Amino acid sequence: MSKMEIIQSLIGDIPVLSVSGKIDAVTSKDLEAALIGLIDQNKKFLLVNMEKVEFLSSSGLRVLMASLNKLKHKDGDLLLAALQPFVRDVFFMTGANRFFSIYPSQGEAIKSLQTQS
Amino acid sequence: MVTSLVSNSLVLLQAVSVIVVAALLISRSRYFTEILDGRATWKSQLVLVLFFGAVSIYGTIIGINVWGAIINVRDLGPLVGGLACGPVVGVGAGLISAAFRFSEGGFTALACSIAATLAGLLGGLAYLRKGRFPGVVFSVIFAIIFELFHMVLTLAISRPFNLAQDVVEEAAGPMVLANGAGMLIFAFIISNVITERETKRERDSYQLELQKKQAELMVAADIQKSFLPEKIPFLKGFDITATTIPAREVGGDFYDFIIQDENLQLVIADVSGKGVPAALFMALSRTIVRVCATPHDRAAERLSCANNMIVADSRSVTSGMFVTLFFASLNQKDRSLVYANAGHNPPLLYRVAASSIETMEVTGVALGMRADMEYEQRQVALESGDILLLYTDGIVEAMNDKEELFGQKRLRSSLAAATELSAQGILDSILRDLRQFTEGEEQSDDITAIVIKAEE
Repeated sequence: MSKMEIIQSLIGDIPVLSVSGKIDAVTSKDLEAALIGLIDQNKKFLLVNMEKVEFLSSSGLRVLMASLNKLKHKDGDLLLAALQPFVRDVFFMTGANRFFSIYPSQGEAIKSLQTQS
Repeated sequence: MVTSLVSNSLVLLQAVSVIVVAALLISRSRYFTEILDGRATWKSQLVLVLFFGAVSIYGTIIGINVWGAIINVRDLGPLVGGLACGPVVGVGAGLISAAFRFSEGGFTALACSIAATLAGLLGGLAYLRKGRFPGVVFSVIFAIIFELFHMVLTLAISRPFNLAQDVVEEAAGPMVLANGAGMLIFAFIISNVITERETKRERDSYQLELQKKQAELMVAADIQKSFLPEKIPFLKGFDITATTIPAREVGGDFYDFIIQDENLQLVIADVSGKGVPAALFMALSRTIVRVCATPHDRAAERLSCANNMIVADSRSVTSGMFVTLFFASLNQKDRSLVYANAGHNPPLLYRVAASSIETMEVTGVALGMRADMEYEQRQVALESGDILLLYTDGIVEAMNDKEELFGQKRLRSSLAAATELSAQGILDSILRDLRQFTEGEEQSDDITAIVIKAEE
């Protein structure tokens, strides 16, 4: 059994990655492949729903940072929703929370994108 | 009629047995496996043309003369050559076979020569359509249909017609049976060889991958080791110890001691990611923090300098790489400690006077995330008996078999229970508690810690 699962969906025209499980050195490679796949399709705004992510290692945070920076470079953004306490601590301790748009829920993240455009 | 069908078939099946032995030999040869691996050379194709041509000639010679026509397993050679090795081998073998058959003469000579050539060509086309050997079932059905076609061809071209009719009546059964059976055995041998080759290829590439991974693990571990301090420095009035226990795949932890006049500067850090990239980033970060020399009371400046240099020199913003790093400068005379914390797990400070544990919180963003970040610094004064514990997430995120993390709470109690011990005693005691907690679960991340105890 894999330690992490990603379910891809579209809400409006926003690709949403719903991740569950542990994002560690091994599984972060799959997350990276999924994110790069979408970025290569010229998607500008991506949403990662982290509601079911119980663990995030520095490898996982690196993958998210790299994707965020690629999207920002194209005037896009990587939105994060529903961080659980452990994951939230990783963002706030490293200071990575300053660079991401973080929302309490997927619905609020989508709403903010719709009002932007 | 029935007896002649059986005896004719038996003679042909004897011929097939000889052909099968030859097939076994050729299927193990370099020439054949070269073609299977898609590395067909002119030489291997020529050898196979000659082989399947010879098989076909043998299938002709062994044939049984029926009213001036020869019933035989001639078509098998070009058919197999085409199906297993492509049109060049198929047509080549077919032409050799046709030339031989034509020279034998007889009223079916033309029909049989055309059939032998077509066997190689059609077999080769079937190979091309699939891009490889089309499998056992396909090949056997193909051979049967082809033999029936051969009979129709004989009826269509060979004259006198009534003689052709007699020959076909006698030959059709044995020829379909013998060529079908021959193809079944041939195809079975070939598909076995193909499966074997594939299994071997997969095994080889897995082995290679494993060796490469092993070499990478060693390189990463070597890089990390060579950038760690060789010994713990001596600072009057302080008891100091430190260790790094690397994970199987190096996590890029490091610590450093820099002596600057009467100050001892400390670094503990954890690079994002694992393996060779993490080890290289660690080496770079360690060097940069050393290069960005600052006086005792400028810890924050040290971090903003290091951050900007890492961003400029490593393209960390593109790769997403970062390093959480705690920097402190400890003055030997007044025992003041000035620190700045770039996103690193807050070190613990045990205060003997209040017998409580304080944390040295984050004062800025992890290094490498963005240029021009601002860092704050704090200052504390150490008293005799105070203990400073710097650590990486390999300790607090160590997991037991119930998937629970060791956590800061357990680390605090572990420290609180060991405050009477020496620095080394405290470190050993914490590592013992950690080992007891994880109970043999594999260590997934580097474990690094520095313990400093202020003495009398």
